[in-house]
Amino acid sequence: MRKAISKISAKVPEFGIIIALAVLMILTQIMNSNFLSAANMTALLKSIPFVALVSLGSSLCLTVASLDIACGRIAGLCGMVFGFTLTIMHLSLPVAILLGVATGLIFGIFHALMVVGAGINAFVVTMGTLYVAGGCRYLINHGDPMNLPAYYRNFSQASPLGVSWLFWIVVLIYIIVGFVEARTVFGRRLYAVGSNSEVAKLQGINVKFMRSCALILSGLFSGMAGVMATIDINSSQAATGTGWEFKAIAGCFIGGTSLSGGSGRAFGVAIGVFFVFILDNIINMMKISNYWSDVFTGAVLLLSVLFDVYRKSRKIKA
Amino acid sequence: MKRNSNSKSTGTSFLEIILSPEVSILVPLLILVAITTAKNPNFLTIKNIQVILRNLVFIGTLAIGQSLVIMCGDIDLSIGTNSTLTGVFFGVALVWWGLGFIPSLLLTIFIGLFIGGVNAFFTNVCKINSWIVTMATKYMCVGMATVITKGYIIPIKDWSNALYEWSRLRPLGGLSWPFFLFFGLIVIGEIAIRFTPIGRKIHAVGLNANAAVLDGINVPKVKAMCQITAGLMGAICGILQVANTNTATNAIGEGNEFPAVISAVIGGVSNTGGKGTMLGVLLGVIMYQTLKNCLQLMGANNNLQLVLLGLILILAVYVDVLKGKISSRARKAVAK
Repeated sequence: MRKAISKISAKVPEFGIIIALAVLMILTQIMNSNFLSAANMTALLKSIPFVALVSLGSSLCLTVASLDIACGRIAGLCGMVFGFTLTIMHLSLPVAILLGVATGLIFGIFHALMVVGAGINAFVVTMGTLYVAGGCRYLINHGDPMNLPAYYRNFSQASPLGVSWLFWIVVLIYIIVGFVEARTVFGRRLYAVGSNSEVAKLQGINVKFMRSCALILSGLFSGMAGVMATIDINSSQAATGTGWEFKAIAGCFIGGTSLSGGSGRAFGVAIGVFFVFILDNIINMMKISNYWSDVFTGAVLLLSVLFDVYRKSRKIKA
Repeated sequence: MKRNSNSKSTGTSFLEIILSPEVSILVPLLILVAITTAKNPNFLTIKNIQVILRNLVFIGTLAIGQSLVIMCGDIDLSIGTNSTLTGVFFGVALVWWGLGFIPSLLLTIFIGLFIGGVNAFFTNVCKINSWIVTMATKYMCVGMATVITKGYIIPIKDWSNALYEWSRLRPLGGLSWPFFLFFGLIVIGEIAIRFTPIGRKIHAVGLNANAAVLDGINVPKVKAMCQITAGLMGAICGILQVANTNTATNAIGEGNEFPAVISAVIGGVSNTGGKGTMLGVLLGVIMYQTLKNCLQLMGANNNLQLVLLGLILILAVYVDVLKGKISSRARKAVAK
């Protein structure tokens, strides 16, 4: 039995968290039979993709031992840029999408310049841009919501295979990133840089380039997430993105990405983000007072990191 | 500049004075003051300066704790919501539980120390990165504050107006008691950092924790001490905030950890650790509050202020990195 478990967890490192997730879901289902209903699950899956995409970017940054805490607010800003160019400036849809995503890309490039180029701590840089992006969101159109034309609803409300198109787009991105991480030279190099940058340098890997790539990709994903969130609710809301970074990073940790770099994969991040959202949903379903939700999420983050530390210490012993 | 005195070089001393945080903040500060005065003559009045000095107390107290933690190479993101939770506890203990002033004060300080202790435990015993630990405790603090107050605002005047009136007194030069309390903490901190073994230990840990271990310094103990002191500062700030507004609420204090970091970093506390003085922190806080005041007088709205503050944070750290490069280059040139 023990051998079987260790065999499975060697192949699927997320094994433990999947079991925990399953137990949690079964318990909630027993307490509240509406939990696993189609309506609740569809609503849950529809709300996930945006944070999930941001989380994927964060996990790439963490993999190369860097950090991006501005991702959520950058997504919010990109959504506002997208809404502004589409509804106020009346540009065409592709151009508006391009500008929205480009905003995220610019932030990503700025992060790369500051963190990799100038050698400033990633945490401080992204805390600065967190302020910048967070403030800029409210400067566009005075922070008023901008409603997209009604016919975009056809797209955002459509439900192929039960969930929205946006969900499947994010699933596709996850599959691509997962493939790149596991099967390509680029992916291998990401892990090499994260686990030991000195050794990676000696191996002839361009560490600075890999770090820049991760930060820029994180910006790009933030931009895409912002545009998609805007399309999803058919309106640009300035408050979008506040607190996303917290959920995104918590998702990464739960999914097995570690802060010290060199670990984590797209599948794990997906499980981690799902876990965070399920937990949020459970707080609602179990009718736990809303006042407790912040305490709860903080405790979960702490526990998930403790779990990460525990797992690493066991690996070293083994 | 005691720590640089072992460089033995007379050639770099002038450069070092110019590059020292205490001097290099004054230049942008003076430029800022000049520009704002030209645009709005109300800025450089004694009344406005008094307002700036009175308002910097809250961020300032947090910045003292924050800078100690940053000097060790850690960070405390929970310090803002620490002040929320401790303030709420103070109000609840005074008004709802009727514990009386001194017990409430002691309870509040204990809560602050406890939060610092939790941070210290998870960072030093469980070896989790302090950013993540304090991010988690930040959420737990604000959550607990909401749970305790249930979203209500607690008016302290139900107990007494004495605290509020105390914070409104102007004993000297139009400055309030909280300001002098803050100034006293700065002086104590400056003495501790410059002239005691503790200060040298903190700098040693921040500069290179591994080397500090070899020096026989108990690194986790020094780090934990700084984090617990930061918790205490959060509690003091919480009490001062309650005194200032005469209410205890869960809506005040969240997000103040970032201005505290900014003030510390502008004041020359290096985020890679090992550098920083309380005098620098004082100047950093003054810079931050002056900047905020300038932006308000110029009519910039809250969100524009956020954007500019973010840019200034990045700029301040960038300048810090550049300064490091220049001084190391100068030192190399002298060595040759």
